[in-house]
Amino acid sequence: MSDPPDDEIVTPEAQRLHDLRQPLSAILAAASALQLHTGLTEEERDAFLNIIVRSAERLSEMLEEPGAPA
Amino acid sequence: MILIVEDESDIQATLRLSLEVDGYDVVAASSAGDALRALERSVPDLILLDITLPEVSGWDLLTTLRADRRFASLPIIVLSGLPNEEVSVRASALGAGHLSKPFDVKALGDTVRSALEAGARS
Repeated sequence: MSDPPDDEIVTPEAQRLHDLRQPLSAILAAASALQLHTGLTEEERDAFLNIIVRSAERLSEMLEEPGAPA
Repeated sequence: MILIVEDESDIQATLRLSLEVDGYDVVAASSAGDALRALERSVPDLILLDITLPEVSGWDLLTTLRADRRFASLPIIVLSGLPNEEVSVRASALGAGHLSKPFDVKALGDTVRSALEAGARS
């Protein structure tokens, strides 16, 4: 992931929250897509599921990092 | 056509797939430079623009686009995981809408439809 430009992140906490929101965003969007869209093909369903699993794994890794919220 | 400018690959893929399922034609870019090259090829009906892009930020790209007659009134929605109020105010000042992360695809669809309808009326 790229570092946000200096004028957009003012505190380490804001940076941290921003970073955590990235995989969370992908999970929520993909899960809600599965819930909302009827008639998805198997390929489309698998694509959304793969995004959820990959992003959840990434989020889990981020929460294991030093400095992660307790 | 909708142009997605988002460097997070999973978010870009989710946006793209969800919008395509809704029937939109989608082009995706991972940086401001990629976006500008895509805009030289064709002008979209709407841009979904992440703020924290590598090298050139989404804010800088948005400012550049608004200074260009071709894109001055193009519907643009900024995507951000930064504090909502600050982003909303700044986006509004640049004539753009705002969708905060995390979001679900219903919010995405509603925001996109509203922006396209507003763009069609202007």
